Amino acid sequence: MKADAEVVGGLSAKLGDNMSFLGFRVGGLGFLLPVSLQCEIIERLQVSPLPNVEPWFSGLLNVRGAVVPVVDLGILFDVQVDFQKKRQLFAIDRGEKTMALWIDGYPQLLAEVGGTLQPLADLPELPPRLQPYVTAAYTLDGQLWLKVEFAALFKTLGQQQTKEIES
Amino acid sequence: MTPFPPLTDADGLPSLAEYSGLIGLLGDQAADAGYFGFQDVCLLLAEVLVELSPESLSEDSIVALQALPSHFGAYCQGSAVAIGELLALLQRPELPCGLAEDELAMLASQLALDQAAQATGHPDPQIPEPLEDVLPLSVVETEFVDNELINIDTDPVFQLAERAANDGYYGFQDACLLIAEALAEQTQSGLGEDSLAALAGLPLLYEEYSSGANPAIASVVALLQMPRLGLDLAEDELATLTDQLHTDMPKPNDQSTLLNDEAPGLSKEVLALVGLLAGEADVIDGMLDKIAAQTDCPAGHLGQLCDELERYINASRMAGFEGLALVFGQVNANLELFTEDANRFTTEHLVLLQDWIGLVKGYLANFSDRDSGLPMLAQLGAPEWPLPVNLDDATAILAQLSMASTSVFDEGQPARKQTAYPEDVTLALPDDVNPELLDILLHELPIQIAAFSTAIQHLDRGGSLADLDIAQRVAHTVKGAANTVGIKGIAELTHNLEDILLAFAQHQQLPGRKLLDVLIDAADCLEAMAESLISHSAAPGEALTVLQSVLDWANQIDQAGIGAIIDVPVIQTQAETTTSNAVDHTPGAAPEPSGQPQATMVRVTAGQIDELFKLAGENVILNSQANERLRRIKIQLRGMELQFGLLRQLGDELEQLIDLKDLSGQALADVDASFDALEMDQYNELHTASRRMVEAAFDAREMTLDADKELEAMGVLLEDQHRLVNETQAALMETRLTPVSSIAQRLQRALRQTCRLTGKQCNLNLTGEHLMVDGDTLNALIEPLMHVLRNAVDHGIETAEAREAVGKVPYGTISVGFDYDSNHIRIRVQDDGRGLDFAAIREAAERRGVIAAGQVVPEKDLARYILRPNFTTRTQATQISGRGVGMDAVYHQVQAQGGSLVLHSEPGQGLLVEINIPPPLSRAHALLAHVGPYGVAISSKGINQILFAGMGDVHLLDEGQRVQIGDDNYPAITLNKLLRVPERRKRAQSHHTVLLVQHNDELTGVLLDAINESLDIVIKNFGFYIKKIPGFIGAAILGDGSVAPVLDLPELLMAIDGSGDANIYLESHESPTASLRLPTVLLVDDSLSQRRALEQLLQDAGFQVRTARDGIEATEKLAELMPDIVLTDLEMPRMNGIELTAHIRTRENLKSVPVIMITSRTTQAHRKMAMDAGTDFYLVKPVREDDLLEKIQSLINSAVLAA
Repeated sequence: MKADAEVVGGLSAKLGDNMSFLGFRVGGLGFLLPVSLQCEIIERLQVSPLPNVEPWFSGLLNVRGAVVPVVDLGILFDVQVDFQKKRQLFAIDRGEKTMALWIDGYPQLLAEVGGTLQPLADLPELPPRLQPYVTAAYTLDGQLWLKVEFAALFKTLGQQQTKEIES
Repeated sequence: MTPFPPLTDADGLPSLAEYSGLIGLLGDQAADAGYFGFQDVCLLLAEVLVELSPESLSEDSIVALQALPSHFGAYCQGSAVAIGELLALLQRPELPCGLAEDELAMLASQLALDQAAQATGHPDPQIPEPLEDVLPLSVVETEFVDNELINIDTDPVFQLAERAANDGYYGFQDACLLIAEALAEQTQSGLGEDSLAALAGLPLLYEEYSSGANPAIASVVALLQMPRLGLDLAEDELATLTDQLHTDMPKPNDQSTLLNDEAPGLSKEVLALVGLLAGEADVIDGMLDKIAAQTDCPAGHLGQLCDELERYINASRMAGFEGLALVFGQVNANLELFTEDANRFTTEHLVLLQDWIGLVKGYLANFSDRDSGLPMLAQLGAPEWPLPVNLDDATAILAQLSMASTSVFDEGQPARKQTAYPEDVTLALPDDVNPELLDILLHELPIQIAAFSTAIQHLDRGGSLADLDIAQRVAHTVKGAANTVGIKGIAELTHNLEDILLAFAQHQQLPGRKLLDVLIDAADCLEAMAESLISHSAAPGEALTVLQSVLDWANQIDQAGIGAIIDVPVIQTQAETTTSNAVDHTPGAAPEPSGQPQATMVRVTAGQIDELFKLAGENVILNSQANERLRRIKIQLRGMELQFGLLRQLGDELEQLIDLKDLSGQALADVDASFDALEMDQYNELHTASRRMVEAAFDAREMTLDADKELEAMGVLLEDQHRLVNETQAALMETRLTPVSSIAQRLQRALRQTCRLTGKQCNLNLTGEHLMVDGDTLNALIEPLMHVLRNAVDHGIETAEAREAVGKVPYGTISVGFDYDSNHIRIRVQDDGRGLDFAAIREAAERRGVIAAGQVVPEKDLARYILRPNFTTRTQATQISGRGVGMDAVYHQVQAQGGSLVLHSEPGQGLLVEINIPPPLSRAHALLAHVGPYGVAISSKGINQILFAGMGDVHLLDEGQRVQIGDDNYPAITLNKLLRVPERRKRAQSHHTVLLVQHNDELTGVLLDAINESLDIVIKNFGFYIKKIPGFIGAAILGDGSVAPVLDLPELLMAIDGSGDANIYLESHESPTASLRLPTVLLVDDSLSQRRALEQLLQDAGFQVRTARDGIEATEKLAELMPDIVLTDLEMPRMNGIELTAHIRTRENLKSVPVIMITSRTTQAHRKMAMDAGTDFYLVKPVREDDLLEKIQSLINSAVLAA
């Protein structure tokens, strides 16, 4: 079975309207994931770094026998991250498609209805590498929350990583 | 085309009104063939003629009108003169057509347009030509039957030879020329009737041969060996000819019945039937001759003749010549009168009969002409017959005769079998079965058959016409799928079922009780057959009986029509007798599914295997983790042992000390001789404790030794487990292995097609096809390999002339070799063409600004430029390889599998493309090392030797720039540099380990501090999103659970080669696939196997293929997709192909999209419906691949031009 064929669930699932989200923060940015997505906080695991790769590629994790790449969105989007605070490893999606991210604090449950998330009519100014993948933006108590096409983002990252880094 | 009968014959008949009817018919024929302009001409003439009286027409005009059919013939052949003739005819003053000048001009352009359209529509010379070109020999033969001494007309044989040569069948041409030569020396009498009959079958033989029937070759050879022909061929000459015939012959699976509009060619089955009938007519003719020779007692002969005529009647009914059967019936009625009273039979009657059989043969030679039966019928009305045909019968016969001329055309199907034989129910797989299609068939068969059973059961419980339709459609689909895969038993049964159901559907009738029972049996039988196929068990035993009953019903319907079936429900007696005969045919009844017993197979999903594979991989990792723990425990135990040893030593010391103290105590006690009893006790306790301690330490040591033994045993166990885990993995790996030969056909096909398109000649030389390769890897290799092949033909191999000019053999050779290099798959594609054009590459590279003019670039590096995205040396893309897919795409696909690609080009000698693919998810041997802060595993790939600097004759020179090993001197580089990790070492500190690594053709020393460990690892990929990181093969999970990236040293060396300049081919960040714009085909078919077969073909031909299961799904796809062409089946659930075409034609944005209909429906009605709906081409299955591709290409090209 081809991996593409997996339509239900996964990162490729469209973020529908009127649903709950899992929100996580990296620096000042908040990101939203559909609650249906399988996610987990990973503790007490060593990230094995790789030489000669893009700086945002933190390394690899062994999650129950599967090799999972770790991406540092803070470095990728060049946002201020308080390195003093404890960061968590947050693995999203399942199987082959699992990717792990460094996040600040713990993820939280957010609902679009019930007036918690306020949609923004226009997208604010965002890091250039992030901008193309943002589909919607919300605010909640001054925190910016973004709906991001993570699947597309990861795919682009994968292609970039496939190329040799310059210099 | 035969000319129309003379307008004014003895009786002044036929009248102009009848004549206008004939012209009208000709017009209809023209319209059927797509010549609408010609139809207009005919309609105009017919209209005018009805109004006229015969006297008002001049002799000239009548001649001109009579020639109308021949004009049509010439017109169809593309003659421009014929158009002029037609227009002149319309402008004759006697024919008041009243056409204005612009109307005439429009008609002229319509005529020319039709002609052009039909001519370009079928450029394929293999399309069967109109009948009159096929069967002239039998005409010749009937002519000289009456005129014995005339030399045989050899022209038709020469024509046939020419045609064979045009079609590329040189062997057949030779055979024809030999025959013609022999014939020129012969007379008919010298030849004998048998030989003549055999020769008359030559065109039929050609049809058979050109459609790929193997037995035809033997027949041709037998013809040449006929002693009467007087051809004295030596054995070796004959052998050469046979060889030639074999090489020329098209592959049987290439055959197709391509019925098209211009030349509604006769299928070879019809031609074969006609041939049979003609042969039988000869037999009758021969009997008449005998009667003529001995007129004294004709009664017995007449009786024989009657029997023969009876047989003929049956035969012609079966072949669909109902009219002919009636004619024979009429003659038979006459003959019966004579047998009753033999004296009435006179020579006059004999002549009458001879005339008649001659006319029959004439009819058979031209049976597709509507009026070819007229002379035969007219003769039956002659007053000399004791029982001349009456008017009513004649009308009925005429109606049947003209029906035969069209229906035989359209149906083009072989006569139905009468008796079922074991080979008709065999489930044996053909030798060249496509495993993928078989897999799909096995998957869909149970579903389809279940649907069939359900529909039949509905019918059984009352049911409706809808159920009948469903059953018929499912039977049709299963038939198609079974035919595609080549499972005869299922195809034969469903074919007959479909016909029965279709007949009922057409008459809006539901089958009766008896037939339903047969249908239910058939459904059960199909289910059993499907089960047999899946479990590879024997075909169901009742299959033969079931097929026989089905055949009996189908035959009954064919012969008596559906009405008779409904009225006469009992036909079982016949069925039973024939069945029992057939069963007697094979004692032991049920045939085996194939000659060799096959191992029992279990079908599991690929996902399950993957899961097992993953688990086995986990076991390997766990085992190595356990080994690691064991090693640590052993170390700890050794520590403990030492510790216990120390303890024992201390105990000994303590004991000694106590002994000393004891002695000294005794010495001190001399002061007071009486010592305390308690003191004595103390001494004893201290002494015993120390003693016990020493013993305990000794025991502990003993126990560690025991534990050590246990651990040793445990180590052995783990070793065993390691072996088992490895075996498990290897066994699982084997389930994924497929032989390389499974893709051989597709490679051959790609090469053939490219050769055809480029007009070059090429052989494919495949080696290592027995190699077992991981199935996924092989599948992923097909596309890049086919592209490399296309490239080799298009860019590498020169034309035959160019090759001869430089002294090469005219045909190119491309070798594709598969082998294993350690555990990597290595594929070498070598052509013997012109090699890479370095000047052109250089020029293109300069144009792109990649290199500066005059910059020195070695050819090796230049070659790699063609791997850059979108790099092309051509300014114009060719049709073959220029579909936007270049070597860059091949490289990308190879890289995606973690492989490497190397090009070696020798100008004028050809290009070698070497592809190396690592085994997937594979186990590999690796060395663990540290590079700065990073722990890495170094794959053993490319490592020739592991050496230690400073030991023996290994020395580092030039501060580690080079390494000297014995007398050899190699360049060297540190692993840190390769990985761009900063060195944190003192300059003086030297590296201790040297890995001698091979990349391309060079050896380089890679320097590192130390190798920590050497172990087996399981290489995993980086997940779904990160396919490949340059320099890394993947990642491995180590014994302690940490992850280490696995290094690919040759790749790293290649990347850093040439001062880091070689990775320029990777610099572009655009993905090569992003620029692809392949023509898109929307493929609509309800049968999965058909869909997959076509999908594969079209993908191989370089199309992007989207599929849909029926019309509804297709319209959904069309809402968001604008295909370049649509291919659709006719019969599909929910929305059929005609409705889909109509839908497409009504959509503003889609209406110009070409539509090709591919169906097994051969009738004119279906064709007409499809054409009316707006189909561009109507192809009948099985479709020849090349024809289909050519049609698609021409339609896409013209659509592009139109846009």
